[in-house]
Amino acid sequence: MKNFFFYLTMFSVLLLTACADVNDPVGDDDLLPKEAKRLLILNEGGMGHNNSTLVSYDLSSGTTDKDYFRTVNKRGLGDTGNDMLKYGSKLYIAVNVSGTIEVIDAASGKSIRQIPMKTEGGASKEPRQLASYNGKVYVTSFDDTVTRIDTATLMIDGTVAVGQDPEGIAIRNNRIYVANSGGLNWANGYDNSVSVVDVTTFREEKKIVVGVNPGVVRIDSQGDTYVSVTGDYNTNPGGFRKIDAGTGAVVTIAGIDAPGKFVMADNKAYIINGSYGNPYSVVVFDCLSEQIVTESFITDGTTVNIMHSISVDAFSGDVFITETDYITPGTLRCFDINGKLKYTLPAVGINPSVVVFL
Amino acid sequence: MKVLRLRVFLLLMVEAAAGNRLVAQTVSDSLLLPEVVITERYADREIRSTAPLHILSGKTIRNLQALQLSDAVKHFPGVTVKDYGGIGGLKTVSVRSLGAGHTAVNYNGIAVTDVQTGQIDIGRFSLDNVENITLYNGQNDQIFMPARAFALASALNIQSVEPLFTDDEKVNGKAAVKGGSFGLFNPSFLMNLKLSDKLTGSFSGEWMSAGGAYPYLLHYGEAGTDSTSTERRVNSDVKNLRLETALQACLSERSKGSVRFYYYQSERGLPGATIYYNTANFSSQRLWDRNFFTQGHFEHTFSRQWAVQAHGKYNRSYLRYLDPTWLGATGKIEDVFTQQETYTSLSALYRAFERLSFSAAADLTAAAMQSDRERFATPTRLTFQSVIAAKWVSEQFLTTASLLYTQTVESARYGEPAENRNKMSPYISASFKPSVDLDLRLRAFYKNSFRLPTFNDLYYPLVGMRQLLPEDASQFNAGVTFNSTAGEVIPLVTVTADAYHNRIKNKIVAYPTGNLHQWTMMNFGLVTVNGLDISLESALNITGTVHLLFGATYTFQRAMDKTDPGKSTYNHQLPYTPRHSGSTRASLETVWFNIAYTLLWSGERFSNAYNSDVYRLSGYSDHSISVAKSLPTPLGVMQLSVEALNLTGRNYEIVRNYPMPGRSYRMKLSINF
Repeated sequence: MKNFFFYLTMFSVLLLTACADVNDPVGDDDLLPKEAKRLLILNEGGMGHNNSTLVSYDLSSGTTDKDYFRTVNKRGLGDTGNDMLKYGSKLYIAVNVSGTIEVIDAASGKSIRQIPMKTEGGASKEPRQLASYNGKVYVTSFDDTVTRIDTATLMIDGTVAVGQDPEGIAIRNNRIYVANSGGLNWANGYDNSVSVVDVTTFREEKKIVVGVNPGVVRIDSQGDTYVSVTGDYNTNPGGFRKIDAGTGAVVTIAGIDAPGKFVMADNKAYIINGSYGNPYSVVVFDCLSEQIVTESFITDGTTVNIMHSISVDAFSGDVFITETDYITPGTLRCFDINGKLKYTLPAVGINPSVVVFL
Repeated sequence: MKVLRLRVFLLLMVEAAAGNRLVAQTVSDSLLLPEVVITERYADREIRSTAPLHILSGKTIRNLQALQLSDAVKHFPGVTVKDYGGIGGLKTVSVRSLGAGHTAVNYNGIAVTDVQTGQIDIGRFSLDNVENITLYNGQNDQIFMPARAFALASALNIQSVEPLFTDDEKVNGKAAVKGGSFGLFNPSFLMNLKLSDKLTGSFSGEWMSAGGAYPYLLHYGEAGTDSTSTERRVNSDVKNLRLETALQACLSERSKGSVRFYYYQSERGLPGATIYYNTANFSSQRLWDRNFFTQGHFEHTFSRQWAVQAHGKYNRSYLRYLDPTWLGATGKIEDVFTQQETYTSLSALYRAFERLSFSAAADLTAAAMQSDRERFATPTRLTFQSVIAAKWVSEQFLTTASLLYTQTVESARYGEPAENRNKMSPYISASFKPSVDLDLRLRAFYKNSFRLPTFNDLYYPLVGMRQLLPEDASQFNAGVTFNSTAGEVIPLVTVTADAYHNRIKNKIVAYPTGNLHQWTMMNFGLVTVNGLDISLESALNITGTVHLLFGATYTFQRAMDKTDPGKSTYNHQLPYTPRHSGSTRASLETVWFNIAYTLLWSGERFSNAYNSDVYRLSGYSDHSISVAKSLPTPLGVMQLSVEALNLTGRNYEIVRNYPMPGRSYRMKLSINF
């Protein structure tokens, strides 16, 4: 029931995209979410420590490999794995400091190709976040670009300049929305815009001002774009913003003052809300009714000190919240759709960032 | 020969100053003039001390294949040197797991300070011109010291060679050149001048440059089956220049003074971690250092009862950091930091009775720091330190006690200054020799000390916390020392063993506050350390002209996080702290040549506060060997030495992702004129 709209969304996306590319590797597997048998958890690791890891957790047996990528490939993932995306039968991992996109066969964990993400000078472009659309995977990088990867050839086939230090990326209706954080330019006031890039021309069409230091971007089934604006930790506070699909107007959603990472499932945004000194909570926002469903998703009293990331299993509705102290291995907790703790994976890795369901 | 000359010279000086022969030297030596102890065998001081102290003499240092101070310091028990590899790589020292900020580094009696970071890069001191280095746990038994010398938990003293002249000699010195693998070029020069009967001067200069592009094997995992690739360290070059001049005056039988000018500059690349798949271009960061100081010392002995001394120092330092590949809008990060420090100290010694003496000292330090960043706090700190100390000595019993008072006055041009602090730091120590005939001593000390938050801790933009408390360290030590001779063949056996318990409270740590880009400094956590240090030193006369000198240390450290029983790291070993580590050195001296061998080894460590397999760093051992030959020439004694370092060639890591150079070679030619 709850997943009905989500299925509808998925179908509509697929209908829009299915015929676009004969080489589109999206197979039958991805038509419907199905019951997950295994979790893959990406840990960023600590910057400069080469200790980004991929954890494999078998849900039925409980078997865990805390360094799965290395076990399979006889080499570490690298330094600071920021984002992981499943597209078709493959996984794409953006490894920031190493400056690579690791393309992995999802079933076996084997690396198929390591795509270098380097500037002309040879330094890392610092890839951050990933999104897929129409047979392509798009990567934001801190060198102020979005890179397009062809998922058939696994080669870079285009780059477009956007705003400063792009973070979040979401794609819908032939438009790429990129959150320009300006995070590296914190000393001089960050960026404050979302770039809109046309998929066909692969040119930036415009920038929409959304607020200081935007982070994550997601789009609901109606085409409304949601942005978590982080603020500058000083005079400019954060806020949750909507770019209206019809008018293009930017609206602040009241009641969500310190949004961080969020995901969207079943047209609901699961938003980490909190900051240092203020307790973290997960706010659930219904993007269709445009109402806050709950300001505190966790209902059984479980406390999470610093929430680092959130993922939702589209099939079961289970919500995965990771906790970090940025130094030692963090904890992954699985909550059911009613916000009750199902199980905990302690010390899963440093800065656990993304969970993918296989 | 030189050592003998030194002894004779100093004994003469002491006799002159004291006005009578020192019969019971072991009792009264340090009551008269602190310098007297140089005339003793180093081992005597090590075993008589109430708190552990370890000395590496110039001769021992020359047998250690040591280029930088950090290389030699690794041979002290209880010491962990964080070495980022290569000549230019940062090297900081932590004694008994207390952290770098708790160890003073003193250069010729006056502290080398860095109020910005609180830690001294001990890689910058070369050993070319060093007479000895001493590590004090707790503090020195000599109570006639500046107040600042009582302040920290431990101290590392570097003593330069003092000018000595035979008979009618007016000029002597040394010229040397060292070269070696990875482009090392290190010429140095020292000249001593006897300007008059009362005045001597010295000048020394040194250049050191190295390309530092050493090859290493990059491991993509700790498992033996994980893949590897051969890489080369980039941006690891270094260029250093040191210029130094000193004047020593023996003004009368009772007065002496010295003044020293020191200049150091360096430019180096910061190679950064060996990032997988990005080794070639990960870092282009550069660092420029400039440091100038002048320091002086004057001492006057009024009578057998009274002596006073004054110390003073003025220090300027400049640091420029550049990251030219920053992806932010400016395209680079560039920071300039400057510091100044003015230091004065007055101390007095009162020898009230034959066995009991007292001292008092008052120090004033004014430190300031500037940055080219807009609205940088631009802080200053006035530190007033005063101490009273007492010492009681008999043939079998030695005890010292001191109480240090510290008051700080903080100010800042922009924003709130840090809070002023005032603290008392007590110290007590004793040693006891149960039997008159047996050279065996029991000893113990307790010290409570602290390190002040550094200017980075307090004022670093976005990170600094102005309410930080000092980091508190308590040390308890109990040990035994033993010294013996076994006839002509084994003239010396010295053993020291000390067990200790340390507690560090209010640890100053960087703590994240919500995301990876936002950290703040906090007083957080409690660490306890239980440890054991053992050292052994021995000499063996194989024949009349063939001597073997042997030394070894062993350290056990259990340094535990005791912050929060609910945390996953509770009771885990601190990162980069081996439970077992040690060193060995042996040198064979013959009339033809000398051979020296050294070994440094460490058990496994963890790179993370959470001790699991993923963060395990395997142990290592580093073997080095050198051969030296002396030749008399008409110009003076020439010495040629060849060193082969890290013989196994393994690129072991002291800090994860910072490999040490593999096998390398150095050659040194020097002439004493």
